[in-house]
Amino acid sequence: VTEQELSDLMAAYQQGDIGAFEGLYRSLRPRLQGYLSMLARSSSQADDLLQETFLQLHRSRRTYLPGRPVVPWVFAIARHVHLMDLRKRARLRRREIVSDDPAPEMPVPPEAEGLADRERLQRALGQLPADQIEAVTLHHVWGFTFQEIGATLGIRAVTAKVRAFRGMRRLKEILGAGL
Amino acid sequence: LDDHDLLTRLKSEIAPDLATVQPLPAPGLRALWLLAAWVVLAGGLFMVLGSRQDVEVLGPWRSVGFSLVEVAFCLGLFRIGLRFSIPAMAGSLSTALVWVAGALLVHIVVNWATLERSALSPPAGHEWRTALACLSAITLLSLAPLALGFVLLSRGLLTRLLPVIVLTGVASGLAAESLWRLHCPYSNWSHVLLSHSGALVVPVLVASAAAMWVRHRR
Repeated sequence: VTEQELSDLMAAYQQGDIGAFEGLYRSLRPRLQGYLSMLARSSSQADDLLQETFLQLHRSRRTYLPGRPVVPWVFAIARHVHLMDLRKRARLRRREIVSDDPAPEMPVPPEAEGLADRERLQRALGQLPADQIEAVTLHHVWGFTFQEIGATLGIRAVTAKVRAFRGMRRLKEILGAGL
Repeated sequence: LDDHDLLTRLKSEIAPDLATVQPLPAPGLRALWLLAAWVVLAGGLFMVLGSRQDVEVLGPWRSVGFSLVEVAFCLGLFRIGLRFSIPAMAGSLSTALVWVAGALLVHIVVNWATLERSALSPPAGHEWRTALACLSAITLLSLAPLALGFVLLSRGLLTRLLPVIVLTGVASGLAAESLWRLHCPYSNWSHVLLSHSGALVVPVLVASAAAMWVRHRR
């Protein structure tokens, strides 16, 4: 689905078209699921966050300004939902509760796929700082421009670029050191 | 939940509230509400209190023009603050900081340019009372743009509270100060520092308290 099609779906959704919501859900769910799994490091938690993200998207649908890219807007909402959830958990002192479900697989940048086997790649990705892995995944896996990453994360495009670059360099270093 | 179940559940949750919504206007347009409020307040203030007594000494630029410069910066601050209430439109923290620093600089320059220029001074022995009166008046005036800011922000989604508080608080304080300097004729440094500059801090504190309340409710 192209960005223009998503933008049209959003416009229809703002007009009250539930079919447009369905279209948005089908187009965005896989990427959102991956993003939230990466942020939460838990599949079950990511499922809850996914549901809450779509509900928040509904409540905030007036904040989508026609003509602007849809995907960064949705990802920014997902990130906000994740941060709210973190804050809520901290407040309720639930941090100690460790989820039983295994950590989900993190999306692997295509540039790194050939560098090691699946297990080592996952271990290496797990060693990256959270801000770097977020920038690496958004850029190298889902194809966000640095401008879009900056908009999603509330940072400057150049900062996003630096984080993605350092993340990839670090990933290669980790994999290279273990070779 | 599988894909189909989740979609069904989401659809059933949103179906009762699927009315048509108008997208929010661009932040720059919405910030113009501040200008409208400022014009109304300035008109009201002029009718009730008249213009500042030393307007002939200062001339139109220093007495009115500087206020317009300040309010122009307030519009910029308001606009940036409103951008923070639109997902994926918020700038970086450094952008917010640059705007706040710029606004403070404008405030300093404007007050520096009029410092000790007025022939009028607060009544002897009543300096503190006069300073407190001005501080209270500016604080009171700042509540109007602050309330307007909250209303406008509440229609968006506040993804980053801290920069929004600072931007809206400083913008409200500066807008109120720019209004009050249309009337207040005292330009001695102690009065300016305590009442006029000090009044920039109060709306930030009020906004912080409101933000903490909002966060607690979430």
